Amino acid sequence: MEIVIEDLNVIYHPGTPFAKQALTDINLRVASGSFVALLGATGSGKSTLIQTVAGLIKPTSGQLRIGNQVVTPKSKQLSELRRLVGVAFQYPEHQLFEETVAKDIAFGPRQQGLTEEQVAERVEEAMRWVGLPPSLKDRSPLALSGGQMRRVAIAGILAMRPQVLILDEPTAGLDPRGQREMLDMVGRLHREQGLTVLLVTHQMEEAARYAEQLVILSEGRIALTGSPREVFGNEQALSRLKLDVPEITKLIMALNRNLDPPLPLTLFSVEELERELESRWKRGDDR
Amino acid sequence: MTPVVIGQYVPVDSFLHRLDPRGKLVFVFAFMFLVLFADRWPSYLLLTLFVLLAVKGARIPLALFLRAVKPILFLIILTSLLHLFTTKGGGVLLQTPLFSVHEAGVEQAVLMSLRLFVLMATATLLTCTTSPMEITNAIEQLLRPLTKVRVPVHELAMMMSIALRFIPTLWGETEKIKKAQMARGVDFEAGSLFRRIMNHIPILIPLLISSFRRAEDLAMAMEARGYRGGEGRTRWRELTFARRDLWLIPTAATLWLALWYLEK
Repeated sequence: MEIVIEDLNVIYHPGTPFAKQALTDINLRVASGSFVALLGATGSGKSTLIQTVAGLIKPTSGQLRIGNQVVTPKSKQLSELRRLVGVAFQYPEHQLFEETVAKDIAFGPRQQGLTEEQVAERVEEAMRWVGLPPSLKDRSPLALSGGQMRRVAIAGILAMRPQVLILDEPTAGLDPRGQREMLDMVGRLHREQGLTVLLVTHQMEEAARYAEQLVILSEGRIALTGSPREVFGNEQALSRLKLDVPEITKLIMALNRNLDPPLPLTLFSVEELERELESRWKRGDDR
Repeated sequence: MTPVVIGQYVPVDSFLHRLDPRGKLVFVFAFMFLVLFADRWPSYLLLTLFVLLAVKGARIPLALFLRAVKPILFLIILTSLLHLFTTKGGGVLLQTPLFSVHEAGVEQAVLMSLRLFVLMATATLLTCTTSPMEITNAIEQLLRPLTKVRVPVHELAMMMSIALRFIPTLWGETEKIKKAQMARGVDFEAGSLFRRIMNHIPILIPLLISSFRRAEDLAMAMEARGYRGGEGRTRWRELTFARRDLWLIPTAATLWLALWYLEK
């Protein structure tokens, strides 16, 4: 589902001495079914932006449109918007509270007023999507491993069948394997369900590999946006924003100093780079 | 974003801030006793004046102080109305078929309002000028004699300071969980009272779980650093009674004597 943000401003506690402008003049268009990574330092407004898109914070001025739902400062009902957008905050497993995995995943769909059969179907489906074996259904979610708990929490969000999925650092606190599995799962959901994904991350590697569009926030404004290639090719802007280039891009840039024609900067995995180098070597146009 | 709590410690430097918390605590208790004991016009005038002077001396922004007193405004209005209409005595000021207002009623209403205001202002002044940590330390030291009769004074004080320390943390956590559950379709504002109470279960349970987890982590961290209760424990900041603290004694004595004279 398409997300269009126009002249969005968010100010906390407006009109009091505690007033704080969190977002300033945000204009952003996210195409339906795309995968967007949101980057930026702590306090850059990432969290406020996702909460606004999720319908948890109202804009102070400007507007937000998701599909055909429009949110302005005057909007009263945000629950329709919340239906379209699923959001997994940092450490989403901290929101688990039911006795069993199935009941917890069913919580969202129940709030939507579905019948028991539909709810059961949603639970089964969501568990499959996140790769949880059905045998865990009746276990207590609190007795699972950290990675599994996080999957349960995300399943609970997917079970509401959102059109837009927002993930706030879904890999935080997971081991490297867990991180990879989590991102592969998100990538798969994006491809297979056609979900529009907004991923908040600190890791350039994650952003470069999975996202089609990067949005970099700095002090409440959009500092830079574009495809990973455009963004990571713009070294000047990145160093100004004190952001890092992915390790692999650094390597390619180093290689390119002695290469003609240069390697494309769009390679974001070791395997891709390997294949590229191999094909060049076979063609024999190196050196 | 954490809200400003009633009577929150205001970290500025003033004579009242620098006083020894033990002395302040004892003084405040003695003063509150005086307030409850006072029963006449002149005594209240004196006490109110004293409190107002103290507020000025504490260098606390007046707006902040008034906001702390505001929540009891309702209580003050209610009690003064009750006194206004129910206390009989003296001349009748207003007579209607339904109720009458007597002179004594007006007097009582004003006195009661002043009494509540002074009590609240004193308590607020104490917490505004003394950090929670200082208050806990003071309570611990003042109650120390009770350890003789096996009251776990140190443990109680430690529990109190831990509880105070975690209020902002838990507040932040509550906000976070609330948003997460709102995103899952809970509407906290809609429905009957019962429904609204039930809606808070998805917040309370995760909050309890995380509190237990935090408690366990904290206990582990304390043990790892060798915590074993109050015995033989030293402090970073020792409370010391300075010369300025001695001023509390003549001040208290003067107030007592003045009140004793005024009430006689």
